[in-house]
Amino acid sequence: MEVISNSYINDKKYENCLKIKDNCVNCIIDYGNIRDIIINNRKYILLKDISKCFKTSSLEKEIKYYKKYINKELIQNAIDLFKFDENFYKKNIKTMSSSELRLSYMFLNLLFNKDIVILDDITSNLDKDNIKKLMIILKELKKQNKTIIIITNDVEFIHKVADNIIVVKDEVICQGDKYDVFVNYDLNVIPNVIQFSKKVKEKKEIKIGYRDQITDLMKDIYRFAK
Amino acid sequence: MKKLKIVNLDFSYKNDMIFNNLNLEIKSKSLNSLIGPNCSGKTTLAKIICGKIKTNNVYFDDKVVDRGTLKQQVIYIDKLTRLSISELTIPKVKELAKSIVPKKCRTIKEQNILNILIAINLKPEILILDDVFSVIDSNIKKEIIELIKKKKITLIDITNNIEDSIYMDNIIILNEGKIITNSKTMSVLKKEKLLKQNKIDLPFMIDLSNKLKFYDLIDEQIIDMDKMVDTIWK
Repeated sequence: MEVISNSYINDKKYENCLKIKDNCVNCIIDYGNIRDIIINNRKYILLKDISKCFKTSSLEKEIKYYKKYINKELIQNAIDLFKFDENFYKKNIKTMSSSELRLSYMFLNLLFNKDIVILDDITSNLDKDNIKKLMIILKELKKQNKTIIIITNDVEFIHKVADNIIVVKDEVICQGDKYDVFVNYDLNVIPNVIQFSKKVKEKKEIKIGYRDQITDLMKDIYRFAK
Repeated sequence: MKKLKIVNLDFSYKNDMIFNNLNLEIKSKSLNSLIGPNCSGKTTLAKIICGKIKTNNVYFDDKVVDRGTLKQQVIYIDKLTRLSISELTIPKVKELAKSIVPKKCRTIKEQNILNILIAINLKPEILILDDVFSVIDSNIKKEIIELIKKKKITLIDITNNIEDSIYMDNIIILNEGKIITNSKTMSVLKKEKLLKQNKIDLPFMIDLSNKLKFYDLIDEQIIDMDKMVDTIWK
């Protein structure tokens, strides 16, 4: 995992501080207001209203629009991965629900085939099935050696997917992997499963271990409670 | 007691049948979570309740409400809403709001909190929040919900985050345009099969409580994390 240097947020240079790691999922927890990110001299402006990034009125038309620039394999790969209903490609973007828009946006990202994929607030309001789908897509993007940057405050999702976490508010507050960032820093919100272990350590001075899932946490509690 | 009722609602959008004879009753001053898979019709239902979509099936206090009256009685907020501080009528509150949140460069979180506070001050009968809490931290979330409760506003919180439901009186599950259940939170959270069928997880503390009870490490359900830690390690 190399580090991409020359990373900026909102035009402020963080060359020595902000470390985006390539070929993995970077999650940025934003306590401030990230408007844009510059990586390797390319500016990525964060769109708060996803519907504005579509050039045409439906996914089918978007595919036609970009067909000249994208090879057929990529399109077919994306279609296989997302498993959208046939009618969905004809659906008018203005009538799409928030979750449909988000998935469509992810679909487009797969077609663009850029090395760096930036996703802003991608999980809010997604149901369990769609989050699973999203995780499959992230895995696929990693397979394609892409660098993924997710800006979100959804710590439970971050706990599931992040390889690298960066916490930002006007400047970099901290960064590292999830066990470093969630455990060693005093953030506003951390995953429930980590918060529990932290409380046990703070209150009872017992180290029960930091886990990914509640089932693993249960084993620790059982061991240390008896 | 005043009730919001949706009676025998049929609604289609172009060729898609969204609601077929839907009936829903929400008690005044109650806090409700509206949960369901994506595209189950939650936002559509909310827009019908607040009058953005016209129907004749919404009753408040046993009277049919039309869009005009609904506008004053129901406020709908989603992530793209931008309520303006100028809508506040009490000067003191207006000044306070201006001092807390600067006009330029508002983050989505700040705008959402501001929207909710402005809405509370406008004292609607019903407040509908569509996926607004997902960008607000849980400590602030709790305070806002307590404020809504204090002001006796009926709340419908549309969300996919089951953790929010712990603060609410009732859970309404909507799936494929049908009301699956509309009951007290704790009773819905006990129905494991129902939740699984509708692909809804349990809130963390309830899931943990159930597991710990199974192993006899605690006797009853505990929602507060500090209390849980103290109970296990006395």
